[in-house]
Amino acid sequence: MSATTAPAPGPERPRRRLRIGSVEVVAIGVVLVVMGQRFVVDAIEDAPALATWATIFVSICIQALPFLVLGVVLSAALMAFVPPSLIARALPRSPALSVPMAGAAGAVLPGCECASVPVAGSLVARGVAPAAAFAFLLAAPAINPVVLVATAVAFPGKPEVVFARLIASLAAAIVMGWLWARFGKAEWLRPPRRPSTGEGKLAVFRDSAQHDLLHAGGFLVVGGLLAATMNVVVPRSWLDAVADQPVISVLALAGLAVILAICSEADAFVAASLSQFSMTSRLAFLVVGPMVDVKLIALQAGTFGRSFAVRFAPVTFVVAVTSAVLTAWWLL
Amino acid sequence: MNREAQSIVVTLLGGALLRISLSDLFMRYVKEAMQPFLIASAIVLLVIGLYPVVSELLWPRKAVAGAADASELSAAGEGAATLVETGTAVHEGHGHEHGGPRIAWLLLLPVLAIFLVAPPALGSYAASRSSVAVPESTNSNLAALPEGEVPLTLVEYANRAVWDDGRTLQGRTLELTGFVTPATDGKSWFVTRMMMSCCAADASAVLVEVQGEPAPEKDTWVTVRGTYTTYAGAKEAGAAVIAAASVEQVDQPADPYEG
Repeated sequence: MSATTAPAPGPERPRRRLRIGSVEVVAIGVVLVVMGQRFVVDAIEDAPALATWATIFVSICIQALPFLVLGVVLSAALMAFVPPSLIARALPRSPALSVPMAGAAGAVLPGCECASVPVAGSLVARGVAPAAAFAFLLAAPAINPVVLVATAVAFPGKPEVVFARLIASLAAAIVMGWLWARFGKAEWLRPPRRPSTGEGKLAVFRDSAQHDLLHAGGFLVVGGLLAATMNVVVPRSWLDAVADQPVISVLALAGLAVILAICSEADAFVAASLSQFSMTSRLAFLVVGPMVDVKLIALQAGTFGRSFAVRFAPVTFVVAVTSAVLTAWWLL
Repeated sequence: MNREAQSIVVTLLGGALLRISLSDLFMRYVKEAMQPFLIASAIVLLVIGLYPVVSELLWPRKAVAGAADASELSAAGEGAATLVETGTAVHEGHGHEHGGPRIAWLLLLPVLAIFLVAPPALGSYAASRSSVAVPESTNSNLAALPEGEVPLTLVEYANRAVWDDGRTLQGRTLELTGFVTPATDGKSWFVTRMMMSCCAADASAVLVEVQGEPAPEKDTWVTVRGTYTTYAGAKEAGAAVIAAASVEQVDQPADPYEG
């Protein structure tokens, strides 16, 4: 923690020979932290709540990193090796068609939501209509084979849950894409950055990967901090109190999905364990989780800008809950 | 954040990830099956982070060309390092993330947490906040246990005890390993494992009440030998109970979770 609280380099640095740059800050921070280690370790041993918080924070980061790296590598490869015109041409012009196509294409990205954000970012940078990219962004973490198989394992003998999850998630993603195509404004999006500094494709690849990694990674940490705090602060017993209220239980589990920020590959197991809740509310948990959660909102804010995230996340929440409730009423 | 700092952060992150994934430490946070992916992504991070150093050693001119975008912002004639610094400083002044986003400094938090603290696996604090309900068995066909003294996972014991009324457990000597969680009323205690499906954020506790032996200190790891006994309370509460013949202190297993 000390490294981030260490004095940041001033925005306007005088041109002197000796100046405090980022590297110096790292060095000073490391020295401070090493000196304070004993204190930190003792503090954590004495406070089980703090230890639990730290464990959950670290595990969210570690769990998400391989997927983030996968997403970053894919998106950097997209930036460096795929010509911009190719992807844009592969999708039809009209959002009526391109949005469902892009949503369904999400089925091929085997990962969780951390991987899909950087990929969607580079799709936009590569000239794909944002509406289509967002349908992909929302659908990919929920409907890929890995997640569907995990859902089938978590709900044995209930294939309708897998089916309902697929339909509700895809429907919500497509509706969000169309909503963006109709109402979305380009100025809400931060213009995608093209990190093309080096010579040659390899250097573009490396620069783009590093940039996305630092950026998305930083926001992932913000999300991890929030989710770990919620996890420790909000007692699970609150949930039991609302389990048999039909409307509130749906909102409660949808809200839980937002604050817990569980990876979409694991959330089915958590949903299965919430057996005191109705299937409708558990489906809402499964549909909302991969589309809106604190970690994801932070990642989206980092990739597409804050003014995008504050509009996109709440609307997605409403659409996802509605889609889950309708699908559950139809199928479950 | 200038280019050197960016590379340092990425390299440190890769190093931290590699460090925990090559030892048993990573099992405090994620499932064992994640290990190859952790190692692979750590290597990717190290390659990305160390690339500038390596390429500068091998092709010194190319590394300078990497700073070309900054050069237009600054007067010509200075050294490459100054160009990079100046370019970054201008962008940081905008609060814009051209050279490197400031938020990336936060990536040092997990790095520091891993290198300095390595937070412990979830223990009795997390377990006591979790519900005691035993998840309904997904395996309706509970096979008979093998002969002799049988080590069982807590979740298997709890399943057989709660959802099968202990039929397969009757008359057997069983062995359960977990950490000690005292009950909130202070009278009884549980042998406990956290069950994890992906990472510690989704973990929930499996608790088996131990009768007949005094409670060891909380969070100590123990192996309980004993026999099945019926739970006196309502079934909805779902607590499984073991009548202990002996409680032995053991080391924490490499994988402290059940999955």
